[in-house]
Amino acid sequence: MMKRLLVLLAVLALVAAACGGESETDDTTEPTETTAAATETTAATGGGDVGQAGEGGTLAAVQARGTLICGVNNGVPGFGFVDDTGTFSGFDVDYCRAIAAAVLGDSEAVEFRVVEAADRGTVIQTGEVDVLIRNTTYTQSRDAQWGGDFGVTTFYDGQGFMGLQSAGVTADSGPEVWDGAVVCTIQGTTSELNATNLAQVSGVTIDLVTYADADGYMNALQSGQCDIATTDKSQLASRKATASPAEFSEDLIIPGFTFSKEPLGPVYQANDSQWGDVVNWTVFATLIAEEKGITSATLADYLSSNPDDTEAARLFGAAEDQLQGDMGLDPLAFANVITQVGSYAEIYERNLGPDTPFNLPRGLNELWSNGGLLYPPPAR
Amino acid sequence: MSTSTQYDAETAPPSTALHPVRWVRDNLFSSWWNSMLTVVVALAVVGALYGVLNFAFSPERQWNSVTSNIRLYATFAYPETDYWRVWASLGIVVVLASLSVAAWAGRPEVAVSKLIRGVAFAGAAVLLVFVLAPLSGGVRVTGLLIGFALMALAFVAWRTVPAGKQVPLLAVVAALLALALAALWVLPSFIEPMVIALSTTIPLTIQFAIGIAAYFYGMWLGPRVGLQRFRSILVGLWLLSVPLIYLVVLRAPAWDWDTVTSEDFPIWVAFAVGGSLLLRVIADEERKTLGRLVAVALVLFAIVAWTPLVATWPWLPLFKVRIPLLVLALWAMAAPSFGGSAESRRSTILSWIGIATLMAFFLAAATSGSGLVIQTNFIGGLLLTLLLSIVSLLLAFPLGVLLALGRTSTLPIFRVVSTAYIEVVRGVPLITILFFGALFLPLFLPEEIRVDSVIRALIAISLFGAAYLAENVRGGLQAIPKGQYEAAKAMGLNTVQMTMLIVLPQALRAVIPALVGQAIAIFKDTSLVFIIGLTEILAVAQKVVPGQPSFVGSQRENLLFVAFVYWIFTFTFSRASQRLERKLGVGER
Repeated sequence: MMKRLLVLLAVLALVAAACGGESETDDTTEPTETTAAATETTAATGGGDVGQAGEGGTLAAVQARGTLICGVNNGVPGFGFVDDTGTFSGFDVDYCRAIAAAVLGDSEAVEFRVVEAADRGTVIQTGEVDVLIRNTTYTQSRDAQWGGDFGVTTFYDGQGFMGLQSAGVTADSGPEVWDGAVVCTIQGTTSELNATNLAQVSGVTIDLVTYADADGYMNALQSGQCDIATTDKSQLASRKATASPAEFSEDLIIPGFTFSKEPLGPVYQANDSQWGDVVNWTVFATLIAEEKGITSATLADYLSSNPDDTEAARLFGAAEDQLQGDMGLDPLAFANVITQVGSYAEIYERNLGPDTPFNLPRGLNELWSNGGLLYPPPAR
Repeated sequence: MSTSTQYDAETAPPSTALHPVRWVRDNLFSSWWNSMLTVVVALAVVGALYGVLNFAFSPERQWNSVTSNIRLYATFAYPETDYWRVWASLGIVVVLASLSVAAWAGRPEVAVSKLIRGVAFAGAAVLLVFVLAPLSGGVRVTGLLIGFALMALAFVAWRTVPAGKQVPLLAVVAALLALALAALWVLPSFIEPMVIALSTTIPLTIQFAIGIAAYFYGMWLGPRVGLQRFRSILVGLWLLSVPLIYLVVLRAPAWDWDTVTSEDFPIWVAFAVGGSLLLRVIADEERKTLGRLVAVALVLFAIVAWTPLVATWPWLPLFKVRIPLLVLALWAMAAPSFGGSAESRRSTILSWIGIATLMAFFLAAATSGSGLVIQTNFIGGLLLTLLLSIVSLLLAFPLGVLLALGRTSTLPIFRVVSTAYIEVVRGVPLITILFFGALFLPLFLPEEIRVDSVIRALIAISLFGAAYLAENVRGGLQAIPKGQYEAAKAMGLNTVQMTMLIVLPQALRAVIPALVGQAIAIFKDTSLVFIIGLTEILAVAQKVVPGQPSFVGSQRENLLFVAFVYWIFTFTFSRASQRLERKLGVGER
């Protein structure tokens, strides 16, 4: 009898260990699930994911770890995607690399975490990523609820719509062409909300249909299930440019009308101003480089041939009175950003410029001096 | 008395195989009504096929989006310089699979008539495809010629090979694989762009050779070590291969020698030596009661070690201490019962030292960082899909059996716990459990513990699969007649022996179709892990490839390709299980 009881006890212990220990006591300070969750990490250490932001803040954690963990997208052409050799590329991804170059001196020292739209708040809150650069619009609700801070905007987007010229949409069309139309967009995005608002404000009745991704609305436009597609203009433009067949692509038109502001930029854990400075000045460094006409190839030449430009000398570590040391960085941090990744113009050209399938005009993403919104503070 | 499978010509039953024309007449056009049905259904099938082929062969399709992304499909962003690790892992699986075929299947045979039918069907399918698909004249003619050649081959073989002739199945499989390999060597020079590089052809050829060599080695080795023993060793190696591939080969642990010498090594020594001494003391007939008391105390302590009560103790909060402690406690529980004689005591202690060593090694590997210069979360693509499904099945199956036994147990505590677990987990969609793992787990965990998303997914899928497998197994348990239990009891078997030797083998055999169905479901369910940011093969097709600037809008082609890949795996799996069923005689007894 005793023997059987013991064997059964052993089995019970096994079961308890395997299913997360329902019978164990609760921690007094943690939420009740802690014990179960902790048990589940039995094999979890396999991830080796230790060393998140401790007392020293994110900067110290990244420097100690030797890699930057960057939350990105793996399916937005031009912004965050994976090429056929398995390399992450795109506008957002280049900013991950720029931050790695600034902090670690190596633009390759990045570990990319693919983050789904719905998980963005959690990964910021838990510090699972050091920085999230993933087509994220800066909004009040996200700023207030995610437990994160938004950095400087890297790309100014805005919502527009795309229709078919053969259906009467012209470059000057506004919301009036939406009346009675089937309007398609991507579910769970701000685009969906904006489209509903626009319809309400302009007093048109629309039939809003949502798809999981851009391929969904493109196929629907082509097959006539949608009359209008609406989302960020950069995406619409890239889709128009890459649509096939050519007749379909030429029939598509994106009117000039824009009805939302979509400032996209990096997000990081709240209340870490040192880390925020690093992220933001990395972006500013790329902008200042463009202002001065510096590229990755010409930085060294520029510094030697313009000894009077003390701003550039300080920012790119050629002068004694550089300020990178005060930020906890190497004096050459931003020089590394420019030589390894490039100026804003280079990053833009490489991912969205005329040599890419998208050929997106700079538009709002011009420097202030060219009539755009990019206005970096002075480096002094 | 022996039941020979060899019949001589006189006693053999007359062949029931019909002439193909006769078969068609008897089965498809036996009456005007049947003929009409045949024509209508055939038209519907041809129409559907025409639509699919028109889509697939349309010049607008960007099939190069699939062919140029084969690497992403296989492993996603696994670093190229470490690709030998992928091949090494595959090599381990190939060797074990070949040895297993040698150990379990031996020399299966297949009827030639069946092969001929297969060739004829393949020829007909090729003809149908090349007639219906919108292709240019030259390609269409080539395809039709291939189709006719296959049909002709089948016809000649049907005329010449005597009925009832059998050939070794494995030779056929090997020949087909060799054919596929030859195609890999030859085709790239015809298909532009060159997508299948030598970097895959050579390793695949080596794997093929290794597989064949391992099979013959297994055939030679099996009888020498004894088939039963050979099989148990293989089961052990299979179980060992999972952590080995996952933690050591693919993750490439970056051993931190300071930690190894200051933590891992002392822990291993302490457990191996201390555990052995403990087992030596309690595995003794004389001290049976004392041994059990010590063992129970150790179990309680091992469980308490997982609670925050001991969080401030030295060493104890470490996983590499908690886990061996729990296992040692279980060993200690078993020791007084099984360690009576001197020999069994020795084997108890030796097996403990072996287990402690393996655990120390794998836990050290697991807690060290990864030595890979890796861009993203470990692996992805098909390799991740396979890893998730195989490991979840390996974890879920024993757990499911335990739950099923618990649910049918006569002890209320097990019944209630198992039933509650099964009903709760089955009442929740898998996607919810995955979301829980992805979104809530990190919030509940203490700051210093970070669970890798692959592990989170593995745990979620295993726990989910176990609940379903448990119900399948319970179905089998209920199919066992009461007489079997009574007979087992009458033979003097105890509960464990009755369950392991009489009940489970019959119960599991009875539910093979349901278990295979569940295994296939788990395989397909792994596609849901995209919601926690893992890029398995479906996510590659759905998001990653259409996200590349050069292949924007190629989602449909890629989804079709992935559907085909999934189908190949599930179809192979279901065919293999049908063979298993026939071999075990399910449905015939």
